[in-house]
Amino acid sequence: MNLLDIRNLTIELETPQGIITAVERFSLVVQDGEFRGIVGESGSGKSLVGRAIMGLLSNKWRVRADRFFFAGEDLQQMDVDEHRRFMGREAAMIFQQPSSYLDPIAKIGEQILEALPQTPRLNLAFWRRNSDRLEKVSALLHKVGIRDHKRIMASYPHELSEGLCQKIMIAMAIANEPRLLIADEPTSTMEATTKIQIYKLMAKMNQLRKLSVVHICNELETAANWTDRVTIMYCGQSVEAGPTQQVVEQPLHPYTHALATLIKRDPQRQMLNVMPGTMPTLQHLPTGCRLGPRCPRAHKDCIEMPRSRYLRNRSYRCHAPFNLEEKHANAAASGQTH
Amino acid sequence: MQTPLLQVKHISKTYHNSKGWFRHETVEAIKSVSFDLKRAHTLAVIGEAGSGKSTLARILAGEMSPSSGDILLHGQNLNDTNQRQRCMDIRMIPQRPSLSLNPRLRVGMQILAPLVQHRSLTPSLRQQKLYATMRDVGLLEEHADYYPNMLSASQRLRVTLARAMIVDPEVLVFDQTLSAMDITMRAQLINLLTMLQQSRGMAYIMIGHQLSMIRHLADDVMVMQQGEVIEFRPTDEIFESPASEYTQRLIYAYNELVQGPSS
Repeated sequence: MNLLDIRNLTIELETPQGIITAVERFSLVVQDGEFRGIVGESGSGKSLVGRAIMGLLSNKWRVRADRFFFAGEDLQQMDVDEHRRFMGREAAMIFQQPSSYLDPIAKIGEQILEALPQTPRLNLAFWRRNSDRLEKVSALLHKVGIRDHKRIMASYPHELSEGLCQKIMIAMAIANEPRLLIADEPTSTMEATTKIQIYKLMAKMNQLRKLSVVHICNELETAANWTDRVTIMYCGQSVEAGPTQQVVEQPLHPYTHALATLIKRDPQRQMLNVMPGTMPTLQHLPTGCRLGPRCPRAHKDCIEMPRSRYLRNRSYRCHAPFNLEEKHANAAASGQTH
Repeated sequence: MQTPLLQVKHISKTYHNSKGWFRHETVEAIKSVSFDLKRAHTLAVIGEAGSGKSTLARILAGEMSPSSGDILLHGQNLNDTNQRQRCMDIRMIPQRPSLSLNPRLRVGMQILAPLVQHRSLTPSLRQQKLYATMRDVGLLEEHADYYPNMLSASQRLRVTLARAMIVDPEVLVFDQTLSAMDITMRAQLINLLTMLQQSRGMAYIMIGHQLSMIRHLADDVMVMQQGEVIEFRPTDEIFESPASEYTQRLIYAYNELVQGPSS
């Protein structure tokens, strides 16, 4: 079943200089129990997508979509409060720099208590409800791999390391038994040993509780091995999507190709094969294909914006893809386009 | 044998924190660290938070002086030479380039600042030097008139790089500079650094935990734990057979991250 079904999501920002389109025609389908990756550079709009799903964008952002369903419910029919309350029940989000998202003046235990569902257990006598909630907190901490729950619950966020804080954020996220976890660059400032713990934890939750994970990150290197399917974003557009293994081994889009060659191992210290230039700002986008000026395979068709093409279970947005035989290219071009 | 470019001999640093009126505690941030660095070589320093790697960077850059020990550049003790020469020879690239630039000054002025401070050149020569350095790091001459907020993050890093390089240093110290960069930007900068190292023969000291980058760039890796050097070996050896327990954990975690779960 499709847990999350987004088709042609467009996110715009109203500024005094006019409307800026930050995310354009972004489609994403997440199955139940899928570990999904969204990879892109900073400024490619990947965090905006996560926030739009949760309904966290302030009212100066305009969110439109052809289809925006979560678990069969149409999110566009809801108003802002309804959307947030619904997603708060069904999904959870964790952020980068967890220590800055925790309240610095409240103890960890209190903060996790707050995240627990508020409905009291009526079959329990009222004097036992409080200790029952505390037990739940320690059980949550055990689930995310924290053993000395007493010490952690009594400490403040600044006393703990980033890795521990992120585990606490995950504990708070799963307190409500969500069906979807959106992780917005959860490990970007950590070192390898802590990173692996967070990844393993997310993979465990994904496998044991059928929790779907949308993992937003900026490195294909790690996303390549931990996600089932991946979407590559560039400049607010999804440039390529598909099963991770296929995307990494046979990239179609030149941007993905550049990312994929970067993570291939070469023991010799030589020049890396990189794309020249930087990502354009959203105010000054090139006409046509957004990768155009940086693309090694650009040709005259590229002054027209390529549409998303679908090929088996992959999609890409390019006029001159890599690794594609001529007949497939023609079949894809004449096939379903959006 | 040729003398190494930089020799660090048994430096240590002790912090004194006062606790109350009479008591104070001493923290040994670095305990007797020594290493050599050759020309055009790269040394990476890794370690946990609080292992003293940032303190080491700041001592090398001259931001603070070691409690004991010597730093020798070209076999000459740095404590005896004048501070000005030292500031020109070893330069540090800050952790967050965008925070270390003055938002109200044009980029060109900021790149020139060390040159104005340390050298007496005529304005025209200075201008020439500025443009040459900016071209070296991949900026355009027009960028000199820009303000930092008009540049992208990687261009700002290039600005800080140009500011460090304008006085022709021998050693550059990167304090976790590249860890916050995006992958394509990082790849561009890795190429830039490799190119500059080959053309100018600068030595780099990289502090941080980006293991894939260290693997690509560094010749030697120094692992620190609680202020002590627990491993100091060539990069390939470290990645193939880590010896100490901490390094093993780190390398195994790294391998698992980039190769997928072992199960």
